[in-house]
Amino acid sequence: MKNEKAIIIKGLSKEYFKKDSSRVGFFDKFKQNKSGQSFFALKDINLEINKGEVIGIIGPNGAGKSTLLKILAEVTPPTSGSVEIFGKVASILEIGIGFQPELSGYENIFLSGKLYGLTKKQILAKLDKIIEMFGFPDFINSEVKHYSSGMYMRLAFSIIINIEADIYLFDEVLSVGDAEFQERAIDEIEKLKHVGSTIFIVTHTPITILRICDKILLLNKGTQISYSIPNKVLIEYKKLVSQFNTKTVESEYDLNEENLRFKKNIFSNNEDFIFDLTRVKLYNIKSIVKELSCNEDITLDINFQYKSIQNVKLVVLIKNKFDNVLVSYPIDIESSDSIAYRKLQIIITSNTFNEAEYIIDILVINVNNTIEVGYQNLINAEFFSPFKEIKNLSGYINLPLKVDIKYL
Amino acid sequence: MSVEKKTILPKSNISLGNYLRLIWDYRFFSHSLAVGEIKNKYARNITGIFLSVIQTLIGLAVYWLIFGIAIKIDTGNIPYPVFAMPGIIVWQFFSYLVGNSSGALTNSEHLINKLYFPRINLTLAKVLPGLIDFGSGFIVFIAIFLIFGVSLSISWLAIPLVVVVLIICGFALGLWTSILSLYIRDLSQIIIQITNFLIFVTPVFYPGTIVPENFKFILYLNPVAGVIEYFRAILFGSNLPETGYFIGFGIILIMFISAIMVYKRIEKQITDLL
Repeated sequence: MKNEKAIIIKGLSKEYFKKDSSRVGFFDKFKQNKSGQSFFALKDINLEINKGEVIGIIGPNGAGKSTLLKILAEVTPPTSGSVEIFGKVASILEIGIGFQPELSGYENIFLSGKLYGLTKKQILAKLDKIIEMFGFPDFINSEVKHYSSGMYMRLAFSIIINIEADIYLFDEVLSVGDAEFQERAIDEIEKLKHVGSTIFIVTHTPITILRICDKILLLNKGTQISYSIPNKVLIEYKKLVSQFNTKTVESEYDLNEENLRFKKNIFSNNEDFIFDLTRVKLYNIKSIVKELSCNEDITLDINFQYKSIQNVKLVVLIKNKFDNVLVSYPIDIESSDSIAYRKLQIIITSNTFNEAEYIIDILVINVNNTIEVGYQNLINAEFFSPFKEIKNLSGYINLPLKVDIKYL
Repeated sequence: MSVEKKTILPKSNISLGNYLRLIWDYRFFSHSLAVGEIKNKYARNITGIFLSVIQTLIGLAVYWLIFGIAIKIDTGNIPYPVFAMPGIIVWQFFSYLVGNSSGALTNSEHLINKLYFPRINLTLAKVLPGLIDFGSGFIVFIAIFLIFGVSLSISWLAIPLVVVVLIICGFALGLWTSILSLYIRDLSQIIIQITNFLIFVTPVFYPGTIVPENFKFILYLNPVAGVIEYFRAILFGSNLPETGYFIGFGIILIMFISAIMVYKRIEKQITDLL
């Protein structure tokens, strides 16, 4: 049972011919114009997927992720190679595709169910469960076009979950809807995983699905870069992505004087006081990749110039994305009559924070505890962790708690 | 429990029999698309169904004025409105199917791109809305029939046979327009022009019998002409038309079978052709 195959892909390629749409003649399409420019959306993909595995497919734009899924869903044929599929496939290339807006929710359950290959009897047997999961029994007889987008998705998902296919193909379903819907979607996919379905998920945001994937397939420009456990593939993915947008990532976490000037807010009109950040940089020392891993030490370098007749405090705030302050580090700065230059280095030791989005603010407060200068939303940082965490429950910060279990 | 196994290859090797079974299995899909279209067309506004009837009646009134009263076309002992009505509703059915089938595939691009189903079912879905129009037109015809007091004939029993031929003819023409629409983008515009012209070489508002022998072959080649002529003969209990019309039926049969074969062949490539 353990190593039973669900899908075997052999030498799969998909070639597209570039169409110059500006001058497609009347009968040009009739000729199979093989001489025209072509490109491979997929090139020689070889995979064997075991039953019950959850496979994430990631890669930059144009990597061929969706094309692969479309071939598996039999929407488009491969140019060469073959795919063997063992078991019933449910392809969800779009949530709620196949729904007829003019039909009621009830009728659409039957339509959708039949599209996924169920008989009327099988649908009837699952009807109550589907309607219960949908959660709006009063609306089941109204036309789907009057549904809110949330209801629409819930109906679609409650059908999908109940069709009991062996293999599920999800394309970018997690990129639609709001955060709550995405959470729900992941929960639902996780449930499918628990009942032993084989699942394919294409995503642009690998972080969201990491915790449910057994293996990840990384594609780039149609070729298979790697296919392995998430941790390994993610590192390669980050390398690949950082090749594309090194600049943006750098400027995001490495701010120069000019960037910083725009972010400065002066709160008092104390003319004797001068404070300017000249460089702020947030980075992992050891890491080669440009993203921040919270499993390594994260360093925050702060360069600044100032002039102040009083002692002041520089406060570094770390907030979550809902603007709640998680921690603050106040640092005493001694008075200086002339302009002085300083460099601060703060090291956040590894595993202090968990995977999430954080916002860093820097404030300068005087002896009266009022703000002189503030740099709000200075850095919007995303900390990643390649390790699986307890979803939703891991929190932001790991406290140094001591736990003692006594055997009674 | 045996696991169903499926192999995906560049060229599908499905047999004709299995392909037809597949289309049949997905009839619910065509049905729901058709119901959606009908609801969209009629249920949205109360005037919907009346509007189509009124359209038919206005068309009839115009033909009556021009051909029945002004030109006085010889329709035998049958009053002109009773004579013209069957031609009009048959013609409406064909022009609806041909006109709408040109968009059957191209307007459902998002479905084709995201969902697997036999593509032919999209065109099949156009038949039912067309038949609803035909049915409502036929009811109007019966009303006119009774008003003018034409006597009913035993040959009406053969009407279902005509309807079957009508559906096959309309479906075959619709299939070919949908296939051509993949290759010719502005097909719907061309179709409007062609149907505007073809109505004159089809015995819609004149009897086929007034066409001189030398030009009869044009009617024989036209399957719609055959359907209308036989439909009238059955409705009015008159003599059956010449067997020459079977040339048109033969053509339509070839078109029907070839269209299914073409669909079977290009089925999978349709996504890439759109």
